[in-house]
Amino acid sequence: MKTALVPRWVLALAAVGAVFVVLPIVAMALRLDWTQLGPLVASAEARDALLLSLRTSLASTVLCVVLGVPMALVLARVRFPGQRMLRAIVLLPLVLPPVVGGIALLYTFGRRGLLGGAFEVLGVQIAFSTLAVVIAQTFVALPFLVLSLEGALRAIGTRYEEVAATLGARPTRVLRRVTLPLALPALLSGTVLSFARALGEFGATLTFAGSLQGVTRTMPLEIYLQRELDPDAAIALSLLLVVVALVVVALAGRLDARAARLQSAPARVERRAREREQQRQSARWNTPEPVALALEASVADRGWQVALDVAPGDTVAVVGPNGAGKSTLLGLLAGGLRADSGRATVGGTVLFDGRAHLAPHQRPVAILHQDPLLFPHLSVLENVEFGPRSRGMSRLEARAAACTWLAEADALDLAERMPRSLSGGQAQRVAVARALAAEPGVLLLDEPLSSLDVAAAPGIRSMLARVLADRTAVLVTHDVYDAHVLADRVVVLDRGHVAEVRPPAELFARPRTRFAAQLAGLELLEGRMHDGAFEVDGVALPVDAADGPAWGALAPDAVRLEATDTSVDLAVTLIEPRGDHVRVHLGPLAADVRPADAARLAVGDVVPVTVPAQALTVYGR
Amino acid sequence: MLRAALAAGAVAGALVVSGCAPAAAEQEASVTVFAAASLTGVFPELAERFEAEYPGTRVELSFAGSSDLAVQLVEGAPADVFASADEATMQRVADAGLLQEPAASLATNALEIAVPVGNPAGIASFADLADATVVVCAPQVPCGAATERVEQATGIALSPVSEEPSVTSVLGKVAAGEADAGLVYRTDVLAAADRVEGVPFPESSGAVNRYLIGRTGESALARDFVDFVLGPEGRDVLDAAGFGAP
Repeated sequence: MKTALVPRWVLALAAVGAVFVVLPIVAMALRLDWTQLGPLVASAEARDALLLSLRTSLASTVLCVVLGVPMALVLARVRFPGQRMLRAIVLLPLVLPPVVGGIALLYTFGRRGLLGGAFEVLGVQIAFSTLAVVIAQTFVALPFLVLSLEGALRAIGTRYEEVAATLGARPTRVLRRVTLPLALPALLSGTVLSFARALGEFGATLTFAGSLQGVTRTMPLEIYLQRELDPDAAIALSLLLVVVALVVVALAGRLDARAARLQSAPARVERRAREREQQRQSARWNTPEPVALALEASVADRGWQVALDVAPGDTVAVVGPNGAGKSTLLGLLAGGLRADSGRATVGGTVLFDGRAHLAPHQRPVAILHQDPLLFPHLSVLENVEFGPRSRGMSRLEARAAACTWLAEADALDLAERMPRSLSGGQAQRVAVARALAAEPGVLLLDEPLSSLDVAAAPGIRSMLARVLADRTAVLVTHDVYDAHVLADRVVVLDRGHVAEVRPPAELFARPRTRFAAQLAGLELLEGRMHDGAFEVDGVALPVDAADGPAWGALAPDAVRLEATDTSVDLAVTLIEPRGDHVRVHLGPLAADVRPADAARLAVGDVVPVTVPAQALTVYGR
Repeated sequence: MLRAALAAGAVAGALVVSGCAPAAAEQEASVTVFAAASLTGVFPELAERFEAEYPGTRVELSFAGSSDLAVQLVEGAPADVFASADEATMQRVADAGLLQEPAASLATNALEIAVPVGNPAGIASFADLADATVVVCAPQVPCGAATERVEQATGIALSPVSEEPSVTSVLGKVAAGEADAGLVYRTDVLAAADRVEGVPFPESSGAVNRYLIGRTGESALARDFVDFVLGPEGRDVLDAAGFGAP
């Protein structure tokens, strides 16, 4: 027995609880005259009641699923006014005494009820019919399904659904292939709960449906009646009901487990054979012709206004401090966010403009997140097939495409695995394959390497470099190296606006924004050239450049605190530890020194500072 | 404020434990009566009159279906008096050896047809029930047993749409207009006079239900209560509610 993490007193209370539930059932069983059980259970009344109970409970469980799943989805996923109120009303049957529920149903569906007249016209009489039993049971059992499913849907969140949409899946497909499979355990337990509640339903049934053998007298009603004559008979029938309920629930569990096994085992064998065949054919899957991305849009309440053009096949890296608007850019392109005004196109497809707004699944845009977000209930191959299948490819074609893209992402050997068995790097490779398999015109990458460990990142980076070479892509990153390796151009965003756009080598060597300089490890100095010297805050450094206002990009790791014939004496203004080195600020300049050397310095000390030629790049501003 | 309330509670508790609380139980002798649900209309008044005649006494009433009460008694519920709606139920209590003396006949009750206000189906006789939407008590409960006896005596077989486990359920469906008619006791029709109308029928005399009252407690007060209910004043109250002579 594993008891870790559970305090002893919890175990003790749980035991008390279990005894509390089990003891009355034991007491009941002890009282029972078991010899009498056979004839009693075999009686026509008992048999009719039991069959009726099973029939009506199964019917109302089906109704609960058909009505309850949409209700749970709406409550968990849609925002609308009066939602809290609606949730409270949906849960009302939980607290309403069933007898009152029965009266309410009578006032609704009864002969003189709200809808009774309409039913009468149609020649349908609901009261005293088996249908009335099903309605009563559904009324009291529905909240159990809605409650358990809604809770699970909230816990699962919407991230997998969003990914599925950007892979091209329509809402119904997302529901069928992602949302419901992920919520399956809660759906099953909710279904079992509703079934159990329906099976035990008494008050509403009696009040609304009446009690007639074979028509409306379910097991609980039969038990209640039997008790008038012989309480022991009632106990015997109750035990029978308990046993039947347990058997049905156990059967449901078995069926479910078996369905899962059936699905996986033979499919696997078949799949291997096909894959080999398809790997041979896979050469015919080509990267689509690259397309251009153009966006010019604003989001007023975020103070965001950006124009961005990406040439066909180019990759643009987007950098910027937190809150600069990188996520807004991705949201607008992927379709999760709406612009107040503007327009965006991918090739000939308008993502949005003044009139239109394409839904995420209709956009030729796929997104790769920091978290791979592989669908946990699907195998690697099924994950990668998801996009092609969503776009209407046949099963066989989709499989072939998936194999191609897995191979492209160096992950073909993982095809059979389930996502939970993959390492972070492996999962990210599969995520890349899955995004590519959707054949997007534009691939969005949201810090795809930042959650990978040092060992896994280089492999993924070089794989990304390969697949992004001829692909239109937008890469959000914090990493200068990634921008150098993967991007053709770098966009610096700052407070919702584009601060600069240049090729990475140029931008990081000659930054014009403090943020870009900081990313490159440089100090950006704002000064002027005068008489062969770069002047900044009263310090003049000899540099060969044209006169006029100028930027100076200072590499502090090349600055030395020593006296030479070009050194200047400056006071220490700030000592900033940075892990393995310390940046010593000296007025406008800075020098990176070893911690041991820095320890000998104090703010206010005047030290000689030498700036070698390679430590300072000066360019016009 | 909560703390103050808790403190007050603790003090009160201490007083009770130490015997300092005003001893209500000692000043007021009480008798606990279990009565069939169909007596709900009369026993509160009987209790009130009894308390007026025997000052300082208190009658604790508990109403439920006769068989529920019988089960509770057999399982040891502390009652001094039991009034059942039929003989069979009282017999179960007698068989358990709980009666101080054989139970006495308290009253009789006859069936009557209950119809929704206005009698929309125009029910006028027992024979009319044969092709109406009718609700009855299940044969397992006393009013249902009485219904079966009437059917046998008249030779008119009913095909009810529902056989309810209690008079209340029958009345509910008639009052709601779901059924054209229902068979309940005369006293039930009277008690629900604002929701249903009664249609008496002569054949009901063939199936009269007998109410019994028995003493399950030893106290003299229990005996006094039984005597009071069976006496002239008790008779008046029962008559007024529509019960027949024992």
